[in-house]
Amino acid sequence: MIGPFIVLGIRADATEREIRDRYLALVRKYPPALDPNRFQLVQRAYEAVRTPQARVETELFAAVRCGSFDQGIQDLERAATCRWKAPGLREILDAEE
Amino acid sequence: MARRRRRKKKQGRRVSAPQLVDQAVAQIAQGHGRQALGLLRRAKFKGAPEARMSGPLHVAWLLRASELVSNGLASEAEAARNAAAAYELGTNGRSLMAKALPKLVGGLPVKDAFEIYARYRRTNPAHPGAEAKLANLLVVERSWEHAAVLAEDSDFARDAAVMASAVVPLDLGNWEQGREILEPIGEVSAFWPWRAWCDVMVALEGNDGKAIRKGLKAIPSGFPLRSAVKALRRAWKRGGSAGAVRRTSMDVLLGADRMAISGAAAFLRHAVNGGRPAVIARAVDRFARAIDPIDPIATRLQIVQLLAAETSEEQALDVCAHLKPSVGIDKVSLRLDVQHLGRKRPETSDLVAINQFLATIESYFPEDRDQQIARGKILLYVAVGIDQWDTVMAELILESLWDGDPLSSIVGDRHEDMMANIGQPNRLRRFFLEQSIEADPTSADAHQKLVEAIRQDSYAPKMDLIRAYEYYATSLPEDPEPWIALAELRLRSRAYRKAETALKKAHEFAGADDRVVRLRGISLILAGQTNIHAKRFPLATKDLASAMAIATLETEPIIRAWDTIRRYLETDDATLREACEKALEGATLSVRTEALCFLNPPCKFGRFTLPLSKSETTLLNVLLDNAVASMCSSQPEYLHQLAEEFPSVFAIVTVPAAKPRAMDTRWARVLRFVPTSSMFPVFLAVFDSSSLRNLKALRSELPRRLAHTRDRNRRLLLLLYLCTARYLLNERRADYRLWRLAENIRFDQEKLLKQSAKRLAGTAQVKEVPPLAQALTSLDFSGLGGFSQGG
Repeated sequence: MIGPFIVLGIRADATEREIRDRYLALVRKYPPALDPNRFQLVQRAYEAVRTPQARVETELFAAVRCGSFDQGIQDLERAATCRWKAPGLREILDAEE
Repeated sequence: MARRRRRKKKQGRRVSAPQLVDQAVAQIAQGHGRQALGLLRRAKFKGAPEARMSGPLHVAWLLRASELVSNGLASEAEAARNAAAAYELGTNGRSLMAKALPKLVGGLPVKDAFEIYARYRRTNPAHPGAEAKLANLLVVERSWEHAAVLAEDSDFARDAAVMASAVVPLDLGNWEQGREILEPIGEVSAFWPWRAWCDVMVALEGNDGKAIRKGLKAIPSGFPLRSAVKALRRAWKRGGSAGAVRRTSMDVLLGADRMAISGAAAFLRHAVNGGRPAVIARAVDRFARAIDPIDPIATRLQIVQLLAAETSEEQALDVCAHLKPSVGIDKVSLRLDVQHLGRKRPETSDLVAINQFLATIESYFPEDRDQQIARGKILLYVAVGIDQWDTVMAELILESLWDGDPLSSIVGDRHEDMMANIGQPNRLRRFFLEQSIEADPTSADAHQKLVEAIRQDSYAPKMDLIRAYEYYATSLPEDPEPWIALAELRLRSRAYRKAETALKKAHEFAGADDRVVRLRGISLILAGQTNIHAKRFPLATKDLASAMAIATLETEPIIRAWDTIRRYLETDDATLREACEKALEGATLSVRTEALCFLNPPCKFGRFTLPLSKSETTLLNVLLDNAVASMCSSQPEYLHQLAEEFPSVFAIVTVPAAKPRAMDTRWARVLRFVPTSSMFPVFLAVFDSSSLRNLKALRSELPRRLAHTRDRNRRLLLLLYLCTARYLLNERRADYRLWRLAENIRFDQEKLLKQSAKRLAGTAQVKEVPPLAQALTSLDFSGLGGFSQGG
C-alpha cells in the first residue's frame, strides 16, 4: 500500500478526526455497490492510516511492502488518479459558465 | 488625415439607396443586426422603395432583438421584436431569413427562437445550422416543451425526445448509459455533437486516448462545452502532455491532469533506466508535482524510497543530492535505513541502523505517541529477526553493543543474562518483545508474538503466559483474543470463576464469535462436572441448565449426557436403575447411547474420572446393553451411528477412543440388525475393534448378507470384506480368494474397490498384519501366498 494520504486526499499531518471525516465522505461518494474497486482502494488507504500504529507502520515500511519500483510508481499513479470521477453534464455546463 | 476623412465622407454620400440596401443585406447575412438597421435607415432616407425594404427590415429588427437579449436588455429586445412585426417578411426576406437564421435563433430566448424557426419551417425545408443552435439551446436550457411547436414527425422533434430521456443519466455522470440511449441519433442529427461528447466522456473514463481524440474531432466549433473540449484537446493531444502541468478548474473536473501524471511516470521510468542521478532527480520532482502539486515533498520521499528498493541506497542518496529544494531530504537517509531493516531481517550490520534510528527517533516523529510506536515497531523487528540468528550471530550482535548506544541501554543489566542464554534464541526474542511492548503497549502484534514465544518455551512457567495475556488484555481491552485465550487457560486450570470473568469480557467484544459461545458452553459443562464430582447437585443442575441455554448442536448431547449422570447419581440406589432408564427414555437415541458410553468405565473425561463403584459400573453396562438391544429392535436404521466418532467438541472433555472401547464387546450383537443401507460403516468398526469374537461374528454374517444382496457393487464390497475376514481368521486359500477377486473385477468397479480396500487397510485389525494392509492399499494380492500356506 502506497500513498494512502494521496488516495484520501488529505495532508500527512491530518488529525484522526479529519482522516475519518474524509474517509466517510469518500465512502459516501463511492459506495461499494456502485464502485467496488474505488471503495476498496479508499478502504485500504483508510486502514493504512486509521490508527497511530498503522500510520507509523505505513510511514516506516510502506515503500518496502509495495513490491518493485514499477509497481510502486503504478500504485502512486493509481492513487492519484482514482480520486477522479466522471462529472455529470450539468456539472460541466456549470463549470463552463 | 483630415483630407482623407473628408474624401471618405464625400464617397459615402455618393452611395445610392439600392447600394445601401445591398450592404444591409450583406450585414444581415453576417448576423450584424445593428449595422444592418443603420444602413437600412440611410436607404429609407434616400428614398429606397418600401417593398424592397420590408423584408430586410423585418429580419434586421429580429437580429437586433437577438443582440439586445444577449446584452441583457430584455425590454429593448421586446420593442425590437414589435418593430419587426410592423414589417412584412415578403419574398425577398425569406432567403435573407435563411441566411440569418442560425445567428437569430442562437441569440433569442428559447421560446421565441422556436416560434421563429417553426414559422420558417412552414414554408422552408429544415435548416441544419439553425437546428444545431436550437439543439444546443434545448440541452443547455432543458426547455423540452418548446420543441412541441415543431411538427411531431420531424427529425428534430424525434431526436429531441431521445436527448431529453438521456439527460438524467448524463447529469448523474453515467455516460455509458447515456450513450446507449443516444444510440438512435444519427450523424446528420442536430444532436450528433452531444452523442459525440458522450463517446468522449466514455473514452475518458476508460483512459482511451485514441477514442477521445476521435470523438473530439466530431465536435463542431460552436459546441457549448467550449472550455471542456479545449481542456481535453490540450491534455490528450497526440504524444501526451510533455510540458508543465497546468491545472484549470476544468482540467481538474475532467481529470485532464491524469495524462500529465502518466507522462511524468513514463519520464521517470525512462530516467531510472538511464541511470543519471540528475535526470532521475528532475523526473522524480516532476512526477511528485504531478501527483501532488501543493505538497510534493512527501511523494518525493516515497519515490526515493522506492528507488532505493529497486537500485541501491547509494544511488538513491545520489538522487537526493540533486533534488531541489532539499526540504525533507535529511530524513531520507534514515528512512532508507529503516526500509533496509524492513526488507530483510536484522543482521549485525543493521545494528548501526537500529541504533541510529532509535537515537534520532525524536527528530523523525514529532509526536511522543508516534515515537513510542516507532520504537516499539523497531524492537519488534529486532525480535522477529532473532529467529534468523544462529548462536554465533547472536553472540556477535550482543558483543557488538557499545556503551551509550540506545540498544545497549535497552539491554542494560540483562546483557550477561542474555549472553548466558545465547543458545536459546526464543528467550532473546522474548526479551526484545517485552521491550517492544514496554515501548508501545498498544501493539497487538507484539503481544501476540510474545505469547507465542512463551508458549514455545517449554521451560516457561504457565503463570508467565497468563500474565502476558492479562497484560495484553489490559493494554487492549477491546481486543477479544486475549480474553478468549485467558478463558481457555483458566478452564484448563479449572479456575471456572476467572474463566467466566474472561468469557464475559470476550462476550462483550465478540459475542457472536463461535469460539466464545463454545468456550462458555464448555466452561459451564466443566463446572457442572466438578459439582457432580463434589456431589453439589443443585449447583450442577444450575450449571447444566445455563449450558443448555447456549447449547450448540455439538454440545447438546454432552450436556444431556451429564444431566443424565447427575440424575443417576442424585437418586438413591434402590431406584437407581429405574431413574436412569427413565432419564434415558426421554433422551434422543444418539444422546442415550452417548450418555451410556460416557458412563462406561474406564472412560475418562479429560482429567475427571467418574466416582462410580463396581456395582454401578456393572449396572451401567447392563443399561448400555439394554440401550443397544432396544436400538437393534426398535430403531436399527440408527445403528450405524454407533460406529461414528464423537464430534470434535467432545475432544476437550473425552478421550477420543472412549466410544469404540465401550462398544468393543457389543458389535457381534448389533451385526444382524444393521440395515443393508448402512452396513458398511458398522462392518468397518468391527474390523477396527480388537475382539476376535466380533470378527468371527462378521465372518458368519457376511455370507448371509451376500445371499440376500443383488446389487453388483455391494456384492463386490461384501466379497472383499469376507475375503479379508477369512484371511485375518487364517482360513485356507484366503489369499487366493483375494487375488481372484482383484483379478476378476470389471473395469468400472476398480475405483470403488480401490477406495474400499484402502479404508479397510486403515482399520486396526488389518494394520496388525502389514502384508495384508500393504496388499489392500496397492490392490496387489500376489505377495500374500506365504502367509496362508505358512499360517
